Amino acid sequence: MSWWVSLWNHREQPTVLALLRIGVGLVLLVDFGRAAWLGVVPQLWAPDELGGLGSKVTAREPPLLIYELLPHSVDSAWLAYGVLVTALVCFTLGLGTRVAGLVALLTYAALAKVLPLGDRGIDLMMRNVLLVLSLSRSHAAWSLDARIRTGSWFGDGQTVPAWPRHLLILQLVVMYFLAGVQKTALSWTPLGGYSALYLVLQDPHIARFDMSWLSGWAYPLSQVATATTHLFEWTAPLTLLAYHYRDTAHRPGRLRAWSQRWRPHWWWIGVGALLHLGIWMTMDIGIFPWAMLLLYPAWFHPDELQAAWRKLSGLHAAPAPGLPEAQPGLFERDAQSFSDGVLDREGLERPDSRAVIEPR
Amino acid sequence: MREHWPKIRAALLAVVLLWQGLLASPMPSNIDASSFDNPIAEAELVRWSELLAGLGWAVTPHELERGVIEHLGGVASAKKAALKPLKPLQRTLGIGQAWGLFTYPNTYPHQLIISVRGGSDQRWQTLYAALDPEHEWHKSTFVYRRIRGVYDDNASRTRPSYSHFVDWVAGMAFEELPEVNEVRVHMIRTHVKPPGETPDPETSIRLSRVVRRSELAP
Repeated sequence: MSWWVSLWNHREQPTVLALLRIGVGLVLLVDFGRAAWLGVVPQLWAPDELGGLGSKVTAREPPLLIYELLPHSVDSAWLAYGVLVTALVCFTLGLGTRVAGLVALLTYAALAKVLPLGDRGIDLMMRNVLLVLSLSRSHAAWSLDARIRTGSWFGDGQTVPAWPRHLLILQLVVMYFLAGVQKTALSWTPLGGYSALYLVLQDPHIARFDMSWLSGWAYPLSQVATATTHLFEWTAPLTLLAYHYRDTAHRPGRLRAWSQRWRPHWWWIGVGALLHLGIWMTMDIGIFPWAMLLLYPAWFHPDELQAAWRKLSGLHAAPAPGLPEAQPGLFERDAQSFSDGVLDREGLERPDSRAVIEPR
Repeated sequence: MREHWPKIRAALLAVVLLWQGLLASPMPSNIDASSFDNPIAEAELVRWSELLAGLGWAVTPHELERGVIEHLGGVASAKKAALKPLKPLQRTLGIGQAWGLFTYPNTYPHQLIISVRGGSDQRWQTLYAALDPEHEWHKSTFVYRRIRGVYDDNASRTRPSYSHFVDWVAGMAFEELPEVNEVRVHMIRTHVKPPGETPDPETSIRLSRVVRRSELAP
């Protein structure tokens, strides 16, 4: 029991959670903003007798929350839409973040019920993430809430509970793994010639452009992409093993040492990023690839992003915006295993850090 | 209370993980004969029965379907019963764990076509054809994922929303093109096979609806 309690009791800087909050908020604002820009808000969410595309909107069992609370009108659809967008703006800016997130979630869910055909898998993921982030302290940095509370946009540098980020990692693993497990069509396997992605890309409602040319010289590439996708999804749970090894880096073991040295989960995450970029380039399926990529910061501990920022910017003496300089002991147990990402006050690696990751 | 919070939080998370884990479990919540009532599932049953026959287990596609329904039906009912108490909360929050992404690639894809006719010319003129750069009337609207979901999902199982979609498209065309008297919305279904297999050139027109200007209320 105590290991379970301590598993969810880690703390870390709020920067990754803040990044996730801003990313999720922005991608949803773009998506819902597109509905207004195209002028299809009434079609998507108004009652069918008033031009909505949904069926029996006002006669559903159980009744739809929106049309229980509001009159059956196009204005009600616009009102619900307005509440959602306003809540998303507040959530993104970090103003009354938790309440805004929950209001956005409830309105988003209520609108989804009006036209279920317009609500895709990525909407489910976004609502799951909205719920977790609304319960987190993502507003402790890079938010109006932080500015009002501490006088700084970057908060006061205090650590926050890490469980929401850990839960999001688990969510991503579950999503990928189950997507793989449920791909039972033989076309995803060698028995079906790994033809799945070729078939998907011949669908005029999915493909970004005519991809009939894939049947020629490029067909083997689509087969490799199919096999890679399936393998990527099936191996998702192994990332948890890599995180476990990272968290218990002080223990012996060849596999643990190998994992610490080569960081297989980083390669796996890289493949995932390429997969989503590939989806964006070849398929016109809306926000899915970008929404997923904007969740990818969750894979990294704030210290890792801090270290990456420093490496990229070359500013070895200055911390990333919003982050205090890493100090020994500040990040508790987690930090020990991010050895080559943890820097001391001078921005140098800790003298003992390498010993943690060297194979034993 | 404060010192007990880590334990309370860990317990709450255990309950949430159990709930979501059950939702995520790759067991269907509902399975019956209608689950197999589409050409993609039928083709998969044929391929699986061939595969099993190759492994020495002779089973017809129909027997395979019946066996799957029989064995998974009980599991589906148990899962449904276990999740029932939390269904209202799940519904209100709109959360879940259904991650069937391209589970069965569609080997019978459809192409949405919108055409009109009117005035002296009685031939149908195409306004929009999915993925056709020559006909891109309101393309950005029709490829918007929330709109695409409506007509694309109707291609495999037609619902009342397809009629609403057709009426809406016709209304847009009548408003923008005063000379148009009729709008036709239909789908062309093709059968895609991987390279190396014998191509199936046959196409079929499905879900064809024609709306006349006089039929739509002003």
